[in-house]
Amino acid sequence: MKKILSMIIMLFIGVSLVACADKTTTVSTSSFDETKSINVYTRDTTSGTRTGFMEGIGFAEAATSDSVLVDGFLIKDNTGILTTIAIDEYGIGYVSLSSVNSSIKGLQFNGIAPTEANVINDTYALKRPFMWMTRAEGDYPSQTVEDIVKAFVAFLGTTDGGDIINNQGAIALPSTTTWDSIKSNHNVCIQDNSSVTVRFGGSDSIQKVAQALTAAFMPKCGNFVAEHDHTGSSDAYKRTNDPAIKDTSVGKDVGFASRNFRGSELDVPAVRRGQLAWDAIVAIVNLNNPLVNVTAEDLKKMYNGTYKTWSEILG
Amino acid sequence: MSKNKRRKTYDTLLNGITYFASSISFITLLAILIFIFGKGYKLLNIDLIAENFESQGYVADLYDYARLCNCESDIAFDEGVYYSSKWGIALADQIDLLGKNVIQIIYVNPKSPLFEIRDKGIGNEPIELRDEYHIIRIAFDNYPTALSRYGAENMINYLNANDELREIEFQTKGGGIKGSIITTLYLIALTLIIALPIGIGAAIYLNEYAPNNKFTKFLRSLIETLTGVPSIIYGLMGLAIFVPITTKLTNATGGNIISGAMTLAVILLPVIIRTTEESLKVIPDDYRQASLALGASKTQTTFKVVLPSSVPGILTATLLAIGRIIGESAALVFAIGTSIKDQVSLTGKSTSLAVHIWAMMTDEPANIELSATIAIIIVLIVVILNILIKLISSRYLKRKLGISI
Repeated sequence: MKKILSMIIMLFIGVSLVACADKTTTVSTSSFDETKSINVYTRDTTSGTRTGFMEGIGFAEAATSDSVLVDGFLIKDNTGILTTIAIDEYGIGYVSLSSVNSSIKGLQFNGIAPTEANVINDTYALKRPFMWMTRAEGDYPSQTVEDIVKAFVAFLGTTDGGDIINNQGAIALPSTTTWDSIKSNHNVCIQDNSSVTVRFGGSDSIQKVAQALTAAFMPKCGNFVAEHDHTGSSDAYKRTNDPAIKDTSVGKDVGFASRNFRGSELDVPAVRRGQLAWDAIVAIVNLNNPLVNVTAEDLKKMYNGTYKTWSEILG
Repeated sequence: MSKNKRRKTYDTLLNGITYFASSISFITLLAILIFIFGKGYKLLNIDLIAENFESQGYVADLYDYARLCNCESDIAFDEGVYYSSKWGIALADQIDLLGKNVIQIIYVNPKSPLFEIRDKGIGNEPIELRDEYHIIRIAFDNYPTALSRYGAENMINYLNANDELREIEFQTKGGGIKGSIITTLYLIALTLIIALPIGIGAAIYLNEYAPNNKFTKFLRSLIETLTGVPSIIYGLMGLAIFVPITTKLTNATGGNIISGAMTLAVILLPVIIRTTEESLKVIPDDYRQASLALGASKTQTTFKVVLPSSVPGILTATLLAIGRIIGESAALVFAIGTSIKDQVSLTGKSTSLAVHIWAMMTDEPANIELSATIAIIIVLIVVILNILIKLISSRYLKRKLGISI
């Protein structure tokens, strides 16, 4: 018994020592050593931010695959990237514009500073649109659902909807109308809709925003029930308008896409689709890093391993 | 002498391997426990079990008679709690069950204009703003909106800068696992109702009636094979057979609790048949002989003498089955689906506790804390069940056969 116990204790100590080994910290100095190699940080492959970033820098295959990235890259979550870049002088990472704070430096992309104004005036390019699409008129389970969807689309363009979008970290399109000023156009919202279910689907990167929007809109529109089932941007069109799918059990009333509509998706009349927000992504480095501006090409070369040290991009 | 020595080294080596193996398994178990308790204990509270998963949202504004209260509070608030004496409300930043940053209402002064507010939705009753709510946003006229992502301090500053507000949006905490607990209970009850009669019947046939021939042996080996089939294959079967059956017969539109329970019942059949058969086997033949000698028929003997004596064994089978139902996830992902529901209905989609973990971990970002908390609850239930099984079987053996373990 004693032997077993001592062995267990020894093994346990061994395991805990191994666990401690990877915690090394970088001491920050004022001078930036350009010969140091670049530490590449990324989100994991399920992240919508990663998809947006990789597609934005022309490295789309890295959105879903880790094997095309430079050797020795590190996977962190959103806060993980922020806190690590704040102490790792030689690191590069990317976060949603909404997460950028003063502890790190957000890089200009193609010479344009990452600000909300530059996103809305369409000059900052490292971004993706959040789009919506609805079913055809008269193609809803009931007239009430159709009216609620119409009201919801109107709500997306109000400051109240915009607040909710901004609160989730995306950038709403500018607006001055309030829901209070247009709600008289939507009489469906003053009745009790608690037995009506509206089905939302499409992109999973928009799921959090979409859920927040419906949660905010429910009390404004008679407590209707929102059912969310987000499976990917291409399902925004398929499940609302593709004749082969829209009437099956996965059919949706409103679909969201985190990219521009393309191909046959554009056959849907423009009144039944539109943009609700922008999602901007910012490449970030440590405050000590002299780098100010990057191009898509630079970022791709850093993430695929063509640039190994900081001198190659700074020099 | 040297032969002896070699043998000794050899023995020590073998012993060492057993020590090593047992310590590895012990450490693995310990590591799992440490992990889930370390990650999950923070969220373990009664709110989690009692709350709904979906939060209920409200939108409200001030009554016309509401006046700014300018009431100083004599309550000493903790650090990180911000109090607006103008509005008489205290807010703090918190992290909710789903790992999101939220603004929690800490205190509302009874004289505050926010103490009782008008529902702008379809409700007619005034809403009492209390600490069960999170504030999402407060909108003003001609002033930027105070959003929850900018924190409690910012929201209090915005409130202090304004004398009126246009609307306030808030919601209940949400994130609870009440619906999943109810679904798990439904699943346990329904699965046992389906699986126990069939399983016990099959066990009685195999042990009491079946002739000792090749066919019976074949049947036994089939049942034994079924125990080893991965549950995800049963899940596929549930999706292909039980889901269509239930959607035909009921108003269900997809996976539902009934199809899930049927799938689980199939998974459990081999376990129940085996355990029940074992308990039938240990019943002494004297019982059967005595009953038959008294003139009882074979059927009477089986159902009035043999079956009652095997009740503790069947109970063990039931507890094992419940443990399996609680732990099953792969099959249920197919047979019920993964949408977390608060209003649980037999013909609707919902999640068991294990599938709730699956749903939390496929979220972005994965919610490890809440998953670990649910894991603690599952582990606790399984531990309790195991202790119960041990108690029942040892009592049973002691009473019936005089063996103590």
